Amino acid sequence: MNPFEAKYTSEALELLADLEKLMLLLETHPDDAALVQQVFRNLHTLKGNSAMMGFRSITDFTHHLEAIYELVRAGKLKVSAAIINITLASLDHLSILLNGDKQIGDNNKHIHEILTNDIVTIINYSNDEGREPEPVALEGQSISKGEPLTIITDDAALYKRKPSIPGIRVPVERLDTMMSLVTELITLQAKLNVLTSEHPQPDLVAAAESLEKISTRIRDNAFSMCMVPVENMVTPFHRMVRDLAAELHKEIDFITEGTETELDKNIMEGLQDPLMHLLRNSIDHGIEEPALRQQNGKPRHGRIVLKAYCAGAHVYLEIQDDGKGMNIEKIRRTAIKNGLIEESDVMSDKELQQLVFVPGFSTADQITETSGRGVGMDVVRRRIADIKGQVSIHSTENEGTTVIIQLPITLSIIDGLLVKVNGADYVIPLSAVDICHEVSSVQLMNGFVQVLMIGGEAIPYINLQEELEGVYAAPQSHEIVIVHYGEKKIGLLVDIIAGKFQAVLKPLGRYFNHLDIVSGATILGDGNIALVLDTNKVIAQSLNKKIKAI
Amino acid sequence: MNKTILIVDDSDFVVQMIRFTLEQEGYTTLAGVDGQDALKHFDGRHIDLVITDLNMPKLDGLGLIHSIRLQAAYQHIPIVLFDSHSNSDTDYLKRSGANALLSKDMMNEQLVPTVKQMIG
Repeated sequence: MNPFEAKYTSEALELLADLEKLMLLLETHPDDAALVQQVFRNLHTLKGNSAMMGFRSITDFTHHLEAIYELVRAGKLKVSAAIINITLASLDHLSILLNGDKQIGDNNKHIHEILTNDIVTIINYSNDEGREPEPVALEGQSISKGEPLTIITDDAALYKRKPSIPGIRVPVERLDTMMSLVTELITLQAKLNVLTSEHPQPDLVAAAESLEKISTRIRDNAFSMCMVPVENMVTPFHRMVRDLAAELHKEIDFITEGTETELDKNIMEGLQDPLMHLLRNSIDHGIEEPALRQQNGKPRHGRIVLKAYCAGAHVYLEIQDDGKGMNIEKIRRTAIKNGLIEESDVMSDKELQQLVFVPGFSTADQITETSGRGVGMDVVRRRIADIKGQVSIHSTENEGTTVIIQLPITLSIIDGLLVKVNGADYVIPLSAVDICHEVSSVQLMNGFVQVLMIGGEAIPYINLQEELEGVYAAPQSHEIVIVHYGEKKIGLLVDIIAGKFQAVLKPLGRYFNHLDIVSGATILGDGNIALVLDTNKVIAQSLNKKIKAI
Repeated sequence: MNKTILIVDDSDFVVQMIRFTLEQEGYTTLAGVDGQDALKHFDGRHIDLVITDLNMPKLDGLGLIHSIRLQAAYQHIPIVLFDSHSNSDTDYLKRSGANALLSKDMMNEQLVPTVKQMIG
């Protein structure tokens, strides 16, 4: 597909929407020259753009329609109900064409011919001013001489218009305003919930509950408006891959799957550069030269697949190539050389592969123009972390490399678990939570190391009371929240689990930027502030401390 | 140094498409959404070529060409005028004040050769 087709289509549909509004105005002000001029210009633009894209049917059809308004502009024709009706019907026809494959097929051939015929009739009628309208014959149809133009308005069924406009475009600022208002609404809702629980009057409770249902729906609705299909971002990549492959004399098929998957537009913006970088890496370092591929018994054409899909509360993006993959031994040696690991460290292949994301790591022997100095991967990871995402790499030598990016569906509101640690409020994102349990002090005291047996499974845990050094004394009873950490499960020990909470994420401001383990703050219903924990960072920090202690 | 080309059209789609095509060829591009908007670029900076649409709100292509030709510094700048129809009328070309005419349906094939021929 032409990379500009989406842009063309959205602009063309916008022009049609404008035209429709203009027609309705023209209906009440048929003599307004400025309106006619605007209609003419919109049609003219639509025609020109369609010509540039090479959509002949749309170009020719719009050309006919434009001719009517050229005549009106020149004073040779007056805007009549017939003209307005046929224009509106034509706009519908164009809208169907634009939303489809932009070609005339069996299903729309009939209406296309009838409309063209009618438009030409109007044009000819004005050209033969004062005379009888000329018959216009179009394949198998004929209009007898003298037949009045009212035939057009009579054919009401033909011009029955669908009321729906497929969509409107809204400036991003308005969406942002709406989202920030929705977050205020959610915060206020939480406050109302607290108030109703303090003053449980039946009608007040009922009203608050109804309001909560509605505000949740408004929230979901507002979210969905900020979602953009991955396709929008991916389309320009096709061209990039093609050009870069040609430049490097490689043969590459770039395949995209699941591009209808939607992501928050803010996440999408932050994702563009890292994705581009990963793709360049695959092309430059992953896929081998055609001759070499054949030697190794692979097809000449390399294959890069970009896959997007939804699972749970996350969206995943995968970039998969069937190139030469990563050499584990080489990674190991480089990591040792650069002081990232010790000679004696025992690490799985998987763990070794993730080292490419560590700052200062590079295995590229040559510095190429395409992928730079190989400082890229740690930047990729940082960028993805900025949008609350995680990235991992899985590679098999000579078979290829897959990079998986996990992203939250949205950034501004999360469902969380409200917990108390040392008497202070914290929110743990629900997307990370596996299961919750109650734990007695005895169980903890009996534990030899920080591992608990839960449901027959040994689960290491971190005591958040120690981790988050508070001023309150630790209580006697505990609860444990078990969260996912990569593929492992790790427990977080808290005082008490207060319940589910919709957290509106607010940034902490620059004075707290160094607080890695907190991803933001949220205002609770009672006006208190709770910190939202980034469980991955909490666990990583705690592990680091332990390692250092040893 | 890269040659700088100013592209003027009220259709964002057209501007983007031309921009993309020319940037691929190594040109630097500027853009304006109509004649009036385009004039803001004529502030003393160097422009090698102007490519403008005919039909635009506020100030159309002919008006823009006229305004450019009135400025001493830009009097001789090459201008390409494009429109939906092909117009091979040499008289029209002369009257418009443009140096070349392009029709939108031939844009894909003719844009780059025309530009190269004019400014290299």
